[in-house]
Amino acid sequence: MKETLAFAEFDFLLSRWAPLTPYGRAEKDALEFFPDAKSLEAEYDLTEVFLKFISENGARADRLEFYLRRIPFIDPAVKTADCADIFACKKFLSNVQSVFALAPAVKTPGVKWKSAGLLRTLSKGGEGETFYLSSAYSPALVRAREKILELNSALDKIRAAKHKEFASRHSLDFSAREFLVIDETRAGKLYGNPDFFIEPYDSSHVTVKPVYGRAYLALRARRDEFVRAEKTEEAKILKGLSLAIAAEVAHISGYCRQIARIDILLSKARLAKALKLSRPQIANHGAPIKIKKGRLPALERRLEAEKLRYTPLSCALDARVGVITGSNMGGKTVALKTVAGLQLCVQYGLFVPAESYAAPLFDAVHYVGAGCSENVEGLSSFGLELYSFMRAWKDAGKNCLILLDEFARTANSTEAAALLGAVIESFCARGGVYACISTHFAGLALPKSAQRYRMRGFDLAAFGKSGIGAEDLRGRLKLINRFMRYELVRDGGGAGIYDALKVARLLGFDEKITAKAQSALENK
Amino acid sequence: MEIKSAVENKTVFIVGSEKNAGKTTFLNFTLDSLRGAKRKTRLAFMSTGVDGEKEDFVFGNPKPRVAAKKGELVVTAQSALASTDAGYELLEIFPAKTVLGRTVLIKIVRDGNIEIIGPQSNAHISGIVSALRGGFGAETIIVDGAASRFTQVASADGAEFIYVTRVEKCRAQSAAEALRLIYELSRVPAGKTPRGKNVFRIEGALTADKIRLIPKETETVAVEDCTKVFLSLAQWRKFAARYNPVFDKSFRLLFASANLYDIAAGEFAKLLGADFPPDKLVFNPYAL
Repeated sequence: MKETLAFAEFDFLLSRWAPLTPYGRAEKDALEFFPDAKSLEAEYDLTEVFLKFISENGARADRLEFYLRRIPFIDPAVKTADCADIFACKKFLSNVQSVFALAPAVKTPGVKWKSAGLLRTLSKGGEGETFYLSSAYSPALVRAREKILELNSALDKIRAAKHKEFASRHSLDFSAREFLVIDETRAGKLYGNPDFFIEPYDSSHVTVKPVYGRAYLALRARRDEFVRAEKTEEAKILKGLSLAIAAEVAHISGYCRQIARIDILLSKARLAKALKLSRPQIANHGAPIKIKKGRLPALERRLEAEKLRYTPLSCALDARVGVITGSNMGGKTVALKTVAGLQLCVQYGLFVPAESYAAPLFDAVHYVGAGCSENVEGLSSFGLELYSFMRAWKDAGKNCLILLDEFARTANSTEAAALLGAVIESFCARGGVYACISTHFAGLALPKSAQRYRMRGFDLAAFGKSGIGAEDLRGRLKLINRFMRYELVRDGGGAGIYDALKVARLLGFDEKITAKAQSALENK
Repeated sequence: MEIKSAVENKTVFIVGSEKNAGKTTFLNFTLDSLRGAKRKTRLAFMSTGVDGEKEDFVFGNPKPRVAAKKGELVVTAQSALASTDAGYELLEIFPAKTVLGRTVLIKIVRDGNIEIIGPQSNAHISGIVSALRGGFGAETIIVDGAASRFTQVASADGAEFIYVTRVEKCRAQSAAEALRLIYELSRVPAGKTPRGKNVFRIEGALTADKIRLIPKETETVAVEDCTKVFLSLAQWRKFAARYNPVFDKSFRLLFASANLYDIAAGEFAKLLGADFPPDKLVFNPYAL
């Protein structure tokens, strides 16, 4: 599938399809095919609901996105939640509640908001996303904390009094310093004084630390005892909260699924709006693929940047196996890419970049052609192409769409034509296979059930009338773009396509060689 | 120099010349200076390693604890929450993970001591600093940086740094040269690299060997940032005398704090040179 995605330049769409939660992103990254038309239609119905929602409730949709963005990843399977897990759970529930209140109704089996009680329990230290293990959880915690504060205050008082004394008696200011570095001669008077702990700093200086006395140490020890008691009580409360969360693990797992659904649907609707996508029609197997103004958005954007014309693809591929011929640079590959992109959108439950698109659902979509990325050591480009074909062929027993772009292009033309002819026959014989095949072999004999198409090609008459020429390559490419008719039409066969020499001339190929080729062609 | 006014409302990294240069002690002093001010700044602090632990993980020396006061924002690893005696409210969990657990942001609700443990990757540091200044409203952010990891300073837009150096008499000359080099590098103009035929870009490290490859007609040499300069002070001065160096990213030295061992302040200042600006140097703030 990677090869088909790359061929269809599907990254352009994927990079713009942006779910906001870890759950939505995971679902998007899984990129699963829709298994049947019923579930796909249901997905499209919901996408339409969300499209309507963002069109009619802009501010509400923005708020929904705000809460979705704030949903953290939590692992509902965690057995013993620690402080950070409980924080994440509270943040999750708090935002989930807001999302459920704002989002259009999406039914996920077995999912209903039932955690208001749990959220209240987690919010004893304050509402919102933060988590504080408040004294409200336990009277023992209240006592421990009151004692700690009381002792902190007593310790502060002793320290402040000592600092005052040290400053007035010894001119040593410890108010913003835990220790001081002083000259050893000055320290002489301090040696033996129980108020100071002195240790060497360098050969002529010492470090002096204040000693606050026995009473201070006793208070500190008391304080440490209460801190330990506080920690023990906190651990008990955390355990209780952890159990409360564990008791709702089934609900929480359901919320994760529901959030993923809302996120995916909202992001699909945003994508559809941003790229002007439309709802496709799912046809029964055997029905033709019909495209009206189908687009390849990545190419459309590139051409727009180059100020070149882009022609959307309109056609009805009314036979299961269609063979597309046409000029060099006439758009055969782009037509195939467009079909691949449109079909992938359908398979992934996205709206499509087309005015309308009707096609059946497939179990697999394969591309075989140049740039099949997997590198198998020892295989030539022809070998790689065959390897790629064989993988596609394995699926030919199922309902699948196979896109063949210039198959066997590197084999000698007689053998390549024979091989391609045999492949087309085999495709026609397999009822589940739809195939779009682009080839240079215009004269290929096709089975009756296959249909021949061609790209309309270079409009020599219009070009002749225009009288336009160009010197540089860029200008010549623009000319080709301007006068090439990127339209896919049914072809009765028999008419040769002789655009290669026109294109060669337009690109500035040596005129003598081109003329020689033209003459050879005419004498044949 | 008044530390408080120098660091207030800024993002400041404290970078040490080596392990045990006195970074964390200086961090505590900086935090206390800010706390003592009449107008309280919304203070946040974090580390790009492990700080405030009882003993240095590497050398086993006793380490200063980091005190946290009510209302302050602290970024640390989740494991540090088990050992702190401070009271806290959990505000956020960041995606960065440290070896000691998830990175969390807490608001202190009761004074206490805390170990500060933070991420080392520049991207994570940058994300956290942005979040602190943005959604969590921190005004002054103090980052206890890792020893000799200047690249981290570049991870936060507009950040400045304090260089804490341990100066022992026997190594005073090399300490002075290192500081002098940092000061001179911090004065190199930064920003958009100029274009033109007389501009040469050094990819990667600027070394003595690469200087030899610079085309003769070159006037300006562009380097990514000061951390890519692998030259001695003498080599740098020769290079800077011949070319106009420019960096892509700025690197702003707020000041250096020198902890002197068996060397007088005047003697070290002399080694730095008469033109070393006095406002760029403080001596051990704990020394009387």
